[in-house]
Amino acid sequence: MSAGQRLLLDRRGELWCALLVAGALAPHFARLHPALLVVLGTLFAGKLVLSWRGVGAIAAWQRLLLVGAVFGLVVLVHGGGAPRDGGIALLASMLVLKLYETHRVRDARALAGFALFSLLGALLLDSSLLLNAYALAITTLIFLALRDFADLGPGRQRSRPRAFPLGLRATLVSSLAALPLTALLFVLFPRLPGPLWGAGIIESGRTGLGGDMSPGDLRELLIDDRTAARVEIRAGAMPDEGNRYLRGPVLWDFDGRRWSRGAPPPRMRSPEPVPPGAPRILYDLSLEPSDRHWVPALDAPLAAPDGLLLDRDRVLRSREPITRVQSFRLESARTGGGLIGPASASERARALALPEGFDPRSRALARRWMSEAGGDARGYIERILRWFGEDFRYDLAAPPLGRDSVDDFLFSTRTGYCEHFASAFAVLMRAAGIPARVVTGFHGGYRNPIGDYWIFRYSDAHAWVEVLLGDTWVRIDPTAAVAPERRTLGTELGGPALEGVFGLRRSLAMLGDWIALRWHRLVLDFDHLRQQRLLRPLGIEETTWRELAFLIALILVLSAIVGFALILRGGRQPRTDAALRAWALLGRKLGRLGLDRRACEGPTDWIARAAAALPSAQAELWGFAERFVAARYAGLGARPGEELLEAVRRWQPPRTSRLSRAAN
Amino acid sequence: MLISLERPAALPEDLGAAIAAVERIVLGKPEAVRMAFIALLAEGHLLIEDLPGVGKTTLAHAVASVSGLRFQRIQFTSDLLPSDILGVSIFERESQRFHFHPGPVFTELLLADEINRGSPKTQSALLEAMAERQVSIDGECHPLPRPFLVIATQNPVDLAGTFPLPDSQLDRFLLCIGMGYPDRSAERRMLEEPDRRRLLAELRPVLSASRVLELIERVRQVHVSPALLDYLQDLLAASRRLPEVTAGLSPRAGLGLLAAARAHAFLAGRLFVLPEDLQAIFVPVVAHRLVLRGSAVIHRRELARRLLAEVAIDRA
Repeated sequence: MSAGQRLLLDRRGELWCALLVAGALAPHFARLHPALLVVLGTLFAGKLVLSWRGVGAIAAWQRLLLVGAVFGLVVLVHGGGAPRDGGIALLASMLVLKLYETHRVRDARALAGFALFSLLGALLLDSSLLLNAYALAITTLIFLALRDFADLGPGRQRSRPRAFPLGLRATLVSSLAALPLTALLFVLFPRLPGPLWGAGIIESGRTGLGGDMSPGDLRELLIDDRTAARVEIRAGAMPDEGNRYLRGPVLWDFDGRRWSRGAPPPRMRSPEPVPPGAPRILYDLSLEPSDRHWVPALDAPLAAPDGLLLDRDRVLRSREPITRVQSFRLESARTGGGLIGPASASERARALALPEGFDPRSRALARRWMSEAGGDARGYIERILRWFGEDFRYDLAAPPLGRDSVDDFLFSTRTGYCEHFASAFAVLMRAAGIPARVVTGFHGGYRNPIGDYWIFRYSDAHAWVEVLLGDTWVRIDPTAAVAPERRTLGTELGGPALEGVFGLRRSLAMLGDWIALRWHRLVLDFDHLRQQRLLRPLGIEETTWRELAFLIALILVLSAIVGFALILRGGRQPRTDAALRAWALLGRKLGRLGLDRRACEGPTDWIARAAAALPSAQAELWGFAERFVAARYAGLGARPGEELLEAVRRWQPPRTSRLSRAAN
Repeated sequence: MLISLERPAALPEDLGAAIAAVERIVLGKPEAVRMAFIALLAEGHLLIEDLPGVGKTTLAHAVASVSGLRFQRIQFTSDLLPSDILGVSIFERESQRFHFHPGPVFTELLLADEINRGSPKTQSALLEAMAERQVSIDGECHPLPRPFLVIATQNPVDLAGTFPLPDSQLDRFLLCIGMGYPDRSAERRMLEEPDRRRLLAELRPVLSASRVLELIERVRQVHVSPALLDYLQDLLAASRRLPEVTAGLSPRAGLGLLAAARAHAFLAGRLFVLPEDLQAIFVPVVAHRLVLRGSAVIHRRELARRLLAEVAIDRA
């Protein structure tokens, strides 16, 4: 152990450590149990006070007691929950407790390593650009701290705090030196097909489209203006405002209150025809994590790319839940609202089923109006839509509905949003004998002029109805009948939640979203397919992780060699005079006999010790010492040092294992 | 060969003889004797903390005798006044003028016995004189003679009725050492031989005040290399990082270390300082200057030794 390793940390060093711990743990705060957060915060503050008052160590038994108590608390509050949260809690606790045993530079370096590990852990759970930027900042801070710890070593002058920006610059420069290697590793690191750490990463409770719907379900979504999906058109044109739908789960079954999907629909065998000649549109869809399987595609998706399947409802599903930002290259047809999809008899029956004993008034009304329309489905539909347009209001603050939810909505509250309208409309259709199903997804979206792509937010979540007229499922959006301004203006501005977000704030929001998209595209979406595409021109076909690991190991070894060579050639020679190098060399040679110099040992003390152990080499050793002292302490110039280096290089220590044992 | 470490250039003969003579009187304590001469050659002062009867006075007396220095002894008591040390101005009738009667401090080697029995006022009067090397009374400066060496003793056990020197005053002393009991054979010789006092009386001066000044000048010429200064500064910096102390070593301590290390090298017959010189005088120079925190339980000398163990030399 060198003397530098055993050096004590000063107060500045201890404050550095506290800063690193706080910075590294901040991303985890939200996942920690409040009680644990309070306890760790108290421990942290306590350590700060101790550092400030210059109290060094606390006793080992006190530390042990603390560790036991905190770990007990972790088990208590996180024991039953997700193992991931428990793990994070343990990590956070250990990091805070580590502060209590950090007194030496060596401990502080270890602490810096743990802080990096904690940041890495945070990035596993959240790969957003914001967190990455934060991690980068904290990592820089950690490097700065390591630099500062190095100043604590012997022979170094502690730089004054005034020199802080200079340290920052040097730190950044040395970090830049790591950039090429980082880029190489990024490209070469083996990517697994599919996410690395399965489901359950996304916070539960944060969901997109649920796959079922009862009154009030979407409300949470409709006030959430975070981005849900982005669409970049590659070929073709984006459908116009009235037809810009992202198609999500289709709901068939109604139990009087809740619409649900029922059994998952089978895979679509050969993609059945959309209206022939419908214009096609090729686009990239990138989805924010939802922990769901849905891949809401534009209008009528035509085929499923790898990893997805297209079901008979013409809905794209992913085999794995979407737990990270994922992108898909998709092709859709712009149908203008009519899907050709001949329904089987059983499907027709499902699309007509209504639970017995619910909503008697609505069903009576439907029968009456249908007969008044003379069995003309279109006339009946138009009449209902007119009624909605005249007597109903669109409002997110919809009053709660009773047992007969559709009756309540149609005859008493007459206020609601898409899901109320869709549900009521579908019931009215079915009651009149027209097969109908509810479709959920997103509608509207707005174009980000920066980067020219479309953003759909959770607040764009929507529900509409498809009715089977002849052989075609025709899209009817009853909500649109009520609130045309929502379709034309409201969604354009991002729905009710973002009303009034004009000007600078909106531009900033758009810029931020564009940066996030580029980040996803460039970094997060770099999966094994893109990796293969990139490596193929280099002659690496069908990369296996074994080959990649080998390649990485090779690169690491090579860069280590280059780095060492640079240190030995460039970094060291001018700083160290010949005498010191000779001394280090002599230390290594004598070290083989167990006679290496202790860091705090002066030249004559060391040589006396070595000479006593190696009587045969006494004269040479004293000769070395005299030259060394002459060069370094007697002020006789550099010449003796150079002679010494030559002499030490030539010198072979006597081979006597007996002596080395005796010396030890 | 440029230099020889095994057989260093010989120490000036008279100095060697003086040391040998003192060692014959103060048996079995070569380290203490060496420190006394280092204090003399580095123009510092020496504080000996130990029990009565281990030879503190004998040491001071012997050094004074062989060095040919004028010697005075002050026994500190609680009623000792500053003027008892420094002297007084007395109005003389014949000349109709005040005339300064110098006190015992006007000497070349002063033994301040049991300095912690004196009142703080008296202690500080002496310490000021030690630091300034002059005495100011009634607006008049009276320079002390050169060389001027104070050897003070302090009894660490007998605490009743004492005024321990405050930490801030302790660093007026270049070195602070303990004597310790002599080993068995040295004690045996002491018991066999004639009375120390008679031996002391028989001592003949080997040096003189002017010779001592000459030697002091030569010690000042001892070479100190940048590498050694690096090591010295590392030690100072490390002391300022110790969690157990409220304040690390002052620049004055650094100067003291350097002067003492030069003297040590000179006594070893070298005209340049090695890290080993610094290490040899480090604990006596440093230990009494470390101001410990109330909570620290470590002994100052232990702490100083730990510093030595933690700071690397000649790191490549």
